[in-house]
Amino acid sequence: MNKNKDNFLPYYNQFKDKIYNYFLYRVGFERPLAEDLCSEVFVKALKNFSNFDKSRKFQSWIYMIAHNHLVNHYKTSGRTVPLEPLENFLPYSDNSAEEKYELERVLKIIDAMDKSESEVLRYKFVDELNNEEIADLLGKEEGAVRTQVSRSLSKLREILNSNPQ
Amino acid sequence: MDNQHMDNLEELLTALPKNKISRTADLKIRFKLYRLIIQNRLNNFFDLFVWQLTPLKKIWALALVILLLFGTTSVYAYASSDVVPGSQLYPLKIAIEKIEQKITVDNSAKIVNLEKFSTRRLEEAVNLSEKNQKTNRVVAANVATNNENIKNNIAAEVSNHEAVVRHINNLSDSQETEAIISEAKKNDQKEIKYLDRIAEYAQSNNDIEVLQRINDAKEKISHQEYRSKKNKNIDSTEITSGELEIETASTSISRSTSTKQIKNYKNWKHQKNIIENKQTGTLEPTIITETPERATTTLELAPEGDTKTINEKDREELHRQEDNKSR
Repeated sequence: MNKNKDNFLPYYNQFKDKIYNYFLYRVGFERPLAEDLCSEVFVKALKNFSNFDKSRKFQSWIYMIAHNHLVNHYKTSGRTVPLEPLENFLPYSDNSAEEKYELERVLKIIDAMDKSESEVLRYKFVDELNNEEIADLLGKEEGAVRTQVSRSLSKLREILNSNPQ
Repeated sequence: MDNQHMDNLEELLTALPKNKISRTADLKIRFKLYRLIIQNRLNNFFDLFVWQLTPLKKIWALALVILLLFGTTSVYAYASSDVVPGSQLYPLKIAIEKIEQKITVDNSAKIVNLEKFSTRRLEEAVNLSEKNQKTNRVVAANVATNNENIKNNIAAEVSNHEAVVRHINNLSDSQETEAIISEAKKNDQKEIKYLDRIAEYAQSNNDIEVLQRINDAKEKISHQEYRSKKNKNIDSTEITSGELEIETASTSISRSTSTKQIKNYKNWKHQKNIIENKQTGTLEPTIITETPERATTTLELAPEGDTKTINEKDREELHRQEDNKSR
């Protein structure tokens, strides 16, 4: 068991930024909150690391913990996904001003979409998971995920087209 | 948004910024993780060695911890000759010795303990004497205290010696007892040497009281006789010049001494043969000693008119001894 605990740190190094981003895009870009949630997830993961099935991918497992933790957080805090302005976040990005404007608009629309649609898009483009990994996370078939992603993108395009501003 | 951008929607979404966690937050998380890892290791250790123990075993484990913590101190206090009267660990040393003597059941083991303690008291007294030698004589209080402790140690040694004698006297007569007595005598010689050493220091320091105590102790040890109980009454023999009056020893021969009696008789017989060859009226007494404490005479004058030959008398004596032996 001690060896398992010692092997956890490489996983932390690999996924710390990804999990941080996961929370950042889902808590309205509140950095302190994202950091706290990230910390809590890794601590929780370490405590249960002995139960982790090594035949599975660690990525799927840690994202599952993060998802459940986020759901619990919103249950306890009574908050829905906030739509904070992106000034605190996007100014630190390398995007151009125009891109930043468009990104902000897109993100707002994604937040307004159905939960299943928005979640798939975030997994795909924010967390940079492939269809197989998303399927593993959601407990669906890869084909179903591919279809879901395609439909979500189409809907996003429709909304953006219908609101050209 | 124009169609070009819409076509590049996927590209746009891919360009969403991916931020890295701050260095401070990273360190905080690492600290929590390392702390958790260390806690888990300690919990595993306690799970293995402590929490699974029954209450009785927990008490033993606690006793073991206390023993390990204080055990080294106790061992040092018990074994070190540097722990002398006046040092903080000395009461612990004496307490351990008392416990050791109390839990010893066997008499011979008690004797060994007492001799060991006697030697220790004298070693401590030598140690104190050396300190007195080195100490600046101006610090009179320290010297006086040391002298007092030296006298007490000598008294303790004498007391232990007397206890050894008592224990030896309580032992039954056997070869083992003889070995113990022999060992006790060797120890006495060793103790006298220690006392001589202490006396040298006391003499150079003009510590008259200490010298007096040493002399008294040496006197007692030197004149000590170790005896075990024996079922034997030995009559005295008187030897006068020109004439020999002998009272035959009347003995109740015990099984352990019968062999010695037979050996004595054979020696007596040999001496008689020598005397017969001389054929003189006066007889030279020959005393054969078995031990310094006991002497057996070898001669018996044939009274006038006694018609029995000496050989016949030999036979009668031998028969008598054999009868007593069989009884």
